[in-house]
Amino acid sequence: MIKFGSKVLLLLTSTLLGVIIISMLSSYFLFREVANLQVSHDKIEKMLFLRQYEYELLRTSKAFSEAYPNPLHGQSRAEFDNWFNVLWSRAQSLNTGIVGKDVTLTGFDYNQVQNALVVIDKIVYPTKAINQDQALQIRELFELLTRASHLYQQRRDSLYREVELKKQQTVFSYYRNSFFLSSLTLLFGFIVSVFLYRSNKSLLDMRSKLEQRVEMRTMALQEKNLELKNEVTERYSVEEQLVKSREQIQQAKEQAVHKLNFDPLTQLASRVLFIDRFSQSLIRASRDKSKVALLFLDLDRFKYINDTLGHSVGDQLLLKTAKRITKALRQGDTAARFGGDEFAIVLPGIKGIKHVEHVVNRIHRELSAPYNLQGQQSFISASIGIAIYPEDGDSTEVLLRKADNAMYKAKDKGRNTYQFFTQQMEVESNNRRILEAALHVAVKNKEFSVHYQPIMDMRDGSIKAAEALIRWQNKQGEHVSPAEFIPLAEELGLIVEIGEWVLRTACEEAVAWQQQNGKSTILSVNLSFRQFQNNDIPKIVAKILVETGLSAKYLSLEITEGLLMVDDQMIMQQLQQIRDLGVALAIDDFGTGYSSLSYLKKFPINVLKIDRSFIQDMTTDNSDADLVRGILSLARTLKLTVIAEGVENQQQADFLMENDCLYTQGFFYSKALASNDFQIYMQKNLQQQKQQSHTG
Amino acid sequence: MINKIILSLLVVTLIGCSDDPNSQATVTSDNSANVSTIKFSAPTDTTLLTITGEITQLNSKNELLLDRNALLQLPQVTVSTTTLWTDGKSEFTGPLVRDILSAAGNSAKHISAIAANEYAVEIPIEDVQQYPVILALEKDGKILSIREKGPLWVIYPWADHEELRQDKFYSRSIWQLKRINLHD
Repeated sequence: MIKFGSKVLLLLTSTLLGVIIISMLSSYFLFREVANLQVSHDKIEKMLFLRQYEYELLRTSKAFSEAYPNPLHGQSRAEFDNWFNVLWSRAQSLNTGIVGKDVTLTGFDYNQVQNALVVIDKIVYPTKAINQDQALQIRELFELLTRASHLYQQRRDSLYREVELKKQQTVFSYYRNSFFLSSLTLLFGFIVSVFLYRSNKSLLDMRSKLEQRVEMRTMALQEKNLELKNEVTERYSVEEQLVKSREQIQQAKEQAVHKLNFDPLTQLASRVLFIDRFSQSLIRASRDKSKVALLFLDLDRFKYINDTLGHSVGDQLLLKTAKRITKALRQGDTAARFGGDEFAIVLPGIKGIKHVEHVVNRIHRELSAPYNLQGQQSFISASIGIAIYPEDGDSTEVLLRKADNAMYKAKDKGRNTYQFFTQQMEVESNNRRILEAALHVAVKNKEFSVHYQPIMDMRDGSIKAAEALIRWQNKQGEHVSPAEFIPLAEELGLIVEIGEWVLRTACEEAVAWQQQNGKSTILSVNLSFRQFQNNDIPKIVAKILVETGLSAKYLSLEITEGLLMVDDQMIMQQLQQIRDLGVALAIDDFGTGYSSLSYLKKFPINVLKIDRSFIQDMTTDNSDADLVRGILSLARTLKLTVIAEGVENQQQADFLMENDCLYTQGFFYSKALASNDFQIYMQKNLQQQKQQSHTG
Repeated sequence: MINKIILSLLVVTLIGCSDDPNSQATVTSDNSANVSTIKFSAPTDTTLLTITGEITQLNSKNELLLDRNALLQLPQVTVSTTTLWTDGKSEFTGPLVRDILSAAGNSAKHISAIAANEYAVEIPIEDVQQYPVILALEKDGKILSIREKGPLWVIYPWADHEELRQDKFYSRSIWQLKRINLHD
């Protein structure tokens, strides 16, 4: 396109230049021609010269007419002289100089003039006076000259006219050509201009398009750049977030590790960290041949505080305790919280028992100071079990278990004390494990049976009721005491199943006695606090009553004071529901617990069973006697039935009799009897009753 | 346009070529500086030239009349030149026109010259100031008679100045001069 355009442009430009050159040449030739055509200076001069001649001739001729033959006035002849001289000088130059010669050459008859003037001169001047003929002759001469001049002029003028016409024509044709060429030049110039404009315009367009494209490209690049920047920024932010999240992960990890290693509440070591430290200290001790003491500490009655004052107060207490324990320890000792109110302490580098006792005393001393809990001064004690490496074992696990055992022992000993692990504990612990296994088997195989101890009516010696008591004869035929296995069954939760079985069995057998003996006896069955934990005991009782066909009024359920002390709304409800069935409620072992008398009013209780410990000593111990009297008096006031347990001799029976205790139970009357034996005992009693009523 | 350019170029070339410093005009008397102080008395001889117009010196009523003697009071300049009307080169002698005007106390720009045959022509002052234009009284040492185009003939130095060889200058070469009128 551009190449083609440039070729065309070249062609056009060269054509234009050619036309311009032709035009210039034409103008030059025109100029030459016009210059040639110009009437030359000598021609003009010649013309003027001849005009002057003609005029002078006429004036001279006129002056002659006025002066000769008779002068018109005085100056006439002088005037003629003057004019004649002038004419003479003119005639002279017709033969001299360029102009004159030229005039002569173009056909002017100089000789005629010269001769005529000489003739006139010769006639006029020598003779002062001239005659008429002479004057006539001279006049004729002047006329001749005038005519000749006029003819010459006429001829010359016509010639000039032709020349002039030719000149005009030539000039016209040249001007026409020149105009044509100029027009052509203009046209080509216009074409070139247009072409130049167009090519320039196309160039400009291309340039503008290019600029546009460059601009677009630039914009696109800028956009791209911006995008890149954004991307970079995003990446930075993502990276930042990554770093942050990594930090968070690290933090979380650290926190997790910390959480794993430290108790969040007290900031003491956790079980995990503690075990680790303890294991390490054991390794060190084995190398150093030194001893390590492991202390297991449990706060006494912590559960009570937690339940009565709330968990936040409990937490506060734990925190304070942790601080006090830490304060009591030496550097290098490690305290840990195992959860709840259990703490474990490692005392490495121990030299002897004394050393450990010293630390333990210090801990007790620290903990014995009063705590300020919710503005109240509270006291708390701790039971501590101690196991020593290497005497009590060489593994962490074993030592922990032994210290734990020792701690339980300390608790059993009466709290706020400490207990070193002894071999005896190991034995007990083993026994317990054996018992535990056997108990599971017993539940599975129903190795239990129910025995009944009669509750006597003091007034007539009749059987008022019978307390169902569980008996266990194991596979080896050995009887296991309920005092031995019931707490274990409670601890293991087996008591729920056992208790239900006992209740059902007792109800069934009671129904059987009624049918055989024709007399109804109240059946009293013990309930464990564990049986209330599932909140379904009223339903179970109701169901068993329905299934066995025992009337509710012949059933009494015994609970311990401890159950009431928990002060739980749920337990309260269940007791009420049981009462609503028509079943009586009795408090077993009344007087041994930390009971307050207020619950007697609060709970739907019917019967109080005075604990055997009071009965045993009431005949020898006045304070116990007073206590029994007090209980009886209270029961009377509250309209509660009282049963005295563990009556073993006549004196005790008499004392109770004297103090209006209506119902008693104990070996003095009968031990607990198997179902069959109890039925026989009941029959005998019925016969005695009959005999007494006969004799009476 | 092109024509004009070419024309002007040609003219410039011609003018450039025409520079001729060898002036043939010679001054016979060297009191040109004092011409303005010359006093012309009333003519005693035949009056050859009558000057009228913008002049300060007058010796008649409103005009200055000059006879041969008066003109001879001025420095006589000889111009050697050919003319269109004579054969060969001749030596013309007479006062410079500018001297006459200076003596007359001229302040005008134009000279209207009138001849005996009533031929009249305008001569610009520049001509006489720029060139040694004379009023020839003599030709080749002889007094110019009327029959020889005397008694006064305006002569331009054509021989020395090519640029003067033009119609307009030829037409200003008035012979048998009788009268000069100075005006603006």
